[in-house]
Amino acid sequence: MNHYRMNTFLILVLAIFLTSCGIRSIPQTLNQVEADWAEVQNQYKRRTDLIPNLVATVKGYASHEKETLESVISARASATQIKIDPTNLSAEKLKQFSRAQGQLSAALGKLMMVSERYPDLKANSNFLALQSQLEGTENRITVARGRYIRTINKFNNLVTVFPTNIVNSFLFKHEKKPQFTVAESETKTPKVTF
Amino acid sequence: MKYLIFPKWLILFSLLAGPSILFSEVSLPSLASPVTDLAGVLSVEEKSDLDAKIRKLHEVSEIKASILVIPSLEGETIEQFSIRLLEKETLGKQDVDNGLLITLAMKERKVRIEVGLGLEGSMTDYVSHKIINNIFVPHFKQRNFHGGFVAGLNEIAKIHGSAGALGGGTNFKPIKIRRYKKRKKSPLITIMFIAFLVGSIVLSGIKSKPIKGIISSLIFCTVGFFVIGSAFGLLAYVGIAVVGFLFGIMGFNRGIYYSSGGGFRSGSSGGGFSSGGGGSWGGGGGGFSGGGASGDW
Repeated sequence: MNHYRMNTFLILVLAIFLTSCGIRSIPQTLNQVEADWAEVQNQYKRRTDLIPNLVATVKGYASHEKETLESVISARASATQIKIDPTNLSAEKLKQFSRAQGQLSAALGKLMMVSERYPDLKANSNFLALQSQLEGTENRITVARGRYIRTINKFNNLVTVFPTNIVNSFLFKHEKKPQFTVAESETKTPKVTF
Repeated sequence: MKYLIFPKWLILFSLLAGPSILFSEVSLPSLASPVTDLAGVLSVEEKSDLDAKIRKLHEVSEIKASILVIPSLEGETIEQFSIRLLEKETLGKQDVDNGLLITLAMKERKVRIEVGLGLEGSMTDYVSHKIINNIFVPHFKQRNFHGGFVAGLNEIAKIHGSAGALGGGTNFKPIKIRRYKKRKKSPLITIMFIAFLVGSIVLSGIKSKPIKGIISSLIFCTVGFFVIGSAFGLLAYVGIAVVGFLFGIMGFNRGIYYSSGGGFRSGSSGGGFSSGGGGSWGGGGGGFSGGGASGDW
């Protein structure tokens, strides 16, 4: 009888640990964090891949907008240099990544504004296609970032809030993950003087 | 220090206002039928015509489209609104991701096509952009909403090899992309399981039925709290408590634990947290990544 009670007790303890205390949900959420980060980078890459074509198209119609075109190219170059391994997301690196991509956003924003001045360019179907792809990609980036932010929030809750934080401090010892912050360059709207 | 003392009326007010503030956030419509017109711009005939056309489109091309007309975006951008809605109320089949949502906002004069992940190959952003600017915008400017939607749906059918006013054509199978698997596991099974383990130990020695019921509802609530925490609303806890009480008085012993596993699940739907939606148009689990296009009209 005693033996039987002991077994039931063990099953009970095991059941509680397996279901509610993060032994599964912490690694699962960590995997989700990595997947969501991969998606963020994937969408940013989609944008950087669009840029050479876009620059080439704009150049054909507005070749004397050299400064704007060059700032896009250089911003793209510096943005592609920063890659973050999802298993090693530090706040500093995320900031760097965010800043570089923000600078690219600003440069692209300026390019799109400048292109408004060229009616022939605006009528070019290739340009229109690229423009709509760029808009779509910017939106995908927003969505991917939003999902990443939510997953990070979930992960940080698991790691810091009772009862899952107990399991974390004993077994996994994960730290809180850094969140996206809006870089300065992103809060400023690009200015164009006509 | 003076400010820390709340007047009684303030407490009363916060109790009364609290829930209403919480609930005012949740104002997302459901996509229960192919056409949802919340602004009343479509007549009954127009609505049923579009309804039939969307169902036909689904037959011929596997696309699960939906049209949503809302009076106002309430300060949100149409992109935000559209993806927020689709994350709550999915559209299209899971892992096929063949959903396509057309949102029209009347006050802001905005329109958006949100394209499911599986359709992004054929419904590129440029295609959506062209449908919006070449078809929707001219029609909507003349307030011909039905005509715009019909022309748009015809164009979508044409792109997917089913030209000819949504009749016949070749079958198009969207590209399968496996991403964003979001399995919603019901926490209830876990709660039941643990509650039964605890309950069968604690209650095996108690004879009085009401006491059994109360103790078992307490066990259910406690386990519920530990499994999902405060994510549950108050109503759900009341549901759990009732289920627990019933189990307690129905005979909470090892006999019931071993004999009838199926019975408990059917009882659980009274708790109010089942996802449901058998005949609903939306809610298939199809994923969206934010692809598509928006426009002004």
